[in-house]
Amino acid sequence: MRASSALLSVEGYGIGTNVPSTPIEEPTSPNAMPEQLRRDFLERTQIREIGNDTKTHESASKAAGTAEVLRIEGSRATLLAEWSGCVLSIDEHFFYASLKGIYGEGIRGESEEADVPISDVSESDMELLHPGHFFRLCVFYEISEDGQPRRYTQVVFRRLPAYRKFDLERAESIGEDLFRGLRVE
Amino acid sequence: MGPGHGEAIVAHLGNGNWMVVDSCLDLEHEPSQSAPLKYLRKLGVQTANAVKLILVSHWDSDHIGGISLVVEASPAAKFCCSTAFTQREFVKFVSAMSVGSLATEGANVSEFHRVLQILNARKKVLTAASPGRRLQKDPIITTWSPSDYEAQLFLQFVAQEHPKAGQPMRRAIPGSPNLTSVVVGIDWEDTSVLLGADMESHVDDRRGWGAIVSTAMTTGFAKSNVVKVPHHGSHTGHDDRMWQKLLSDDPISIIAPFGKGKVDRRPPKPGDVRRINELSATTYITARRQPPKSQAGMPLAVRRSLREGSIRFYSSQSTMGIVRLRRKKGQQWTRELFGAAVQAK
Repeated sequence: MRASSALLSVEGYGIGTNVPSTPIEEPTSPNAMPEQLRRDFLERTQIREIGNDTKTHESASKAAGTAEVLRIEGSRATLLAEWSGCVLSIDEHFFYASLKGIYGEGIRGESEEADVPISDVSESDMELLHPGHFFRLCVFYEISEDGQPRRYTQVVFRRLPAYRKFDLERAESIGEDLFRGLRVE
Repeated sequence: MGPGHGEAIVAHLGNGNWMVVDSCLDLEHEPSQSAPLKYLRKLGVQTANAVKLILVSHWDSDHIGGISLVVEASPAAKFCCSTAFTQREFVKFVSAMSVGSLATEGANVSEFHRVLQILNARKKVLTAASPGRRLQKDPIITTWSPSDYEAQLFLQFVAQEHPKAGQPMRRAIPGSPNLTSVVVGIDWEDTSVLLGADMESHVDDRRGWGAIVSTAMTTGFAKSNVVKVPHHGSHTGHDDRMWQKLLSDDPISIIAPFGKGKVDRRPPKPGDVRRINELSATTYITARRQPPKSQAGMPLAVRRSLREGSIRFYSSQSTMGIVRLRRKKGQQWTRELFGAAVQAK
């Protein structure tokens, strides 16, 4: 599927959801993925494709000044940009994070660092605000019912699968084997 | 050498033998390539036989990027790292953060895991760095840290960070591991070099430079006339005892800057450079302060949204710089600067 021909909708995106227990990989653009990988991505992130609405697509992209947008089903919002972030440290008012661009023109694949206001973190996500934890930073664009354009950013912490006892025990075993095989002087 | 973020050192030990300390990536040109490895290959060095010693000072991502590639390309090399990294607790921690479905991002962990796997497969000996440990005789290479006390503290940190069932998956973030850095001295017959890693000062004399100077005074050492300034020239890496006791008067100082984080906090700050200049005959910096990375490719609407949301991007360009010091026995050091490297004094 060509990158410019698909519109995707995001449903219940990340908020309060537990994604399936799969390896944590940073997705590239869903539109640019091979079909199987793309289907996996859509399933994992709960993004649902709603078809090729060229007119809506063009309208949103023109208003936002970018050819690449994702419309959010059930809302007027259009996704302009998205980064996968990891919290590195936390200050009084900001947290410092590494970001990897995963969606948007001039954004995808780029590594960045940023300060993000802690006030942008929802109360329900505050428990996840710790170094090493992952989140998504999104920029949305929408036109309100009275025709007013609005842009906004959203920080959503990812509720990754929990470490499983079985996996940890297996890792411990591998680590033990690795350690026993090392010759230390 | 350093690209503004990350640093590595290669040292010719004589007779075609080389040592590599840490590794960093040339993000501007070949982000998948280890910068020291690329440098050695450019010199025509056959790393498979010529690299005799690889040393990892600590596991921060700016020191370990691409180190597994160096190890892979250097099968004849002895590998040395902090004694804490040779302990069962650490190896298990690295495995837990790296294995299978537990593999969250974290270059430092995956790099180190890969290194351990390579060494294991080759049945190579892992050399544990400790205070006053002599790694070889000609030239004399001595590790000056970490102390047993520091290693214990690090392992306590690892125990706290070890993933537990039920906790959400996360990336391993090194928690202030600089005091576990391996400081190294290289003593040739008529000159010495001190590689300060990211070592910092600490009020507790059992830690940081206090512990190192104390050990050096006890076991004996040669004052160095070239120093890789510790911890990117930051004030936290400064310790008068290091400058007074371990270095000769007016040494040549080399700073590898830290190009990440808030711009006004990135070491070395102008005051740091002034301080180091006052203590040095000559100062070099591997990469001048890098300009911010252009966000021109990002849609204006996105840039404005980030700005309005008080989300500040700090990314900088990353241009490799190399300071090369050479000397023949009995002669003065000569220097060459490449790429973004500059002379500060």
